[in-house]
Amino acid sequence: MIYHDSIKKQSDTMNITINGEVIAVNEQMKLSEFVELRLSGKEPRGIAVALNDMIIPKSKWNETALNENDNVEIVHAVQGG
Amino acid sequence: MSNLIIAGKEFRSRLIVGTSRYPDPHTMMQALEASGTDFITVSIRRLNLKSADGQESIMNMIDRKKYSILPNTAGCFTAKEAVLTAQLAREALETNWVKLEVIGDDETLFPDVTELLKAAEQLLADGFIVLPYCNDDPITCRKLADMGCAAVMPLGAPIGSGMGIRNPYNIQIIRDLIDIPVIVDAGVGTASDAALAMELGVDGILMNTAIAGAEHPVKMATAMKLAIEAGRLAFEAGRIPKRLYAKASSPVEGMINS
Repeated sequence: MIYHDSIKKQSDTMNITINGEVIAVNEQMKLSEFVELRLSGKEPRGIAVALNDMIIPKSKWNETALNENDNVEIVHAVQGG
Repeated sequence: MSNLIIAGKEFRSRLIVGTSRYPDPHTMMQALEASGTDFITVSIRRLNLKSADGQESIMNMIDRKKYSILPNTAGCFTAKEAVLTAQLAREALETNWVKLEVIGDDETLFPDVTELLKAAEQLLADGFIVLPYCNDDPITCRKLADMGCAAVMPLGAPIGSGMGIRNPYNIQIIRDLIDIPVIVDAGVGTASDAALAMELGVDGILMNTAIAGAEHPVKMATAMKLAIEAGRLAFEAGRIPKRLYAKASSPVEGMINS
């Protein structure tokens, strides 16, 4: 397997791409914990989460496990035309 | 004046307004108010997770009892991107309405018709109410209507160009050919462009830059409200036919003779 150069793979972490950026997180992390950490205390209101191009409804975050090299997108509504 | 109805939902205004590129949020809120709109567009973008001063969610400013929300898929180049963006929008905003935009390139922002049709088909199958931004091409519009889109939104001119209605004859043919609402989306530069489009019989206009980019956005929003009302009323009133020669408006009988 090939890992991002700048990120040393450690035995107890996995690489996750979040909004285009690769980060290392603890293994066996659930999507709910991951989103909570990323939002750093902000309310998860008005946001949507996709895991590997699939929408994961908020009700399923708790039962969704993250795996090595998963791609997560967290989006919200902004001004647009 | 009759009201705009899309997919069974009745709107107070025939003007749909974008929320981008205003000088500041306060001006945007005032312009929305002045425009009389009750239907506004938003975009879906990545949340800035690094800094607290990232782009704020527009939903913190918007009263959803006052404004219906139309999320767009702006910036998407493929059906795949557009479908995923629409699904994210549905999850984030709890609406199955989408302004479907699939563009062909950055310079013209013209729609990519093959990708647009593909995306429309997938989103309709997934239960979305689809309002596609499309070319002023009657055949594409008819295909989108036949598929089950709730409205078609042909461009008047390129997005943000302010060039007005470059092909009024096509817009008229589109209006004649299909039974669902026709919304002119993009191209309007000033009030007369909006009035002209409405006089052609279209059901509404979606605009953003014409208002947001005006020197005085709130004044322009008022101008657009009045132009759209005037244009619609003129259409419903039924204009006189054009003729090459004069026709006296004062009676000819009873003239004094010298």
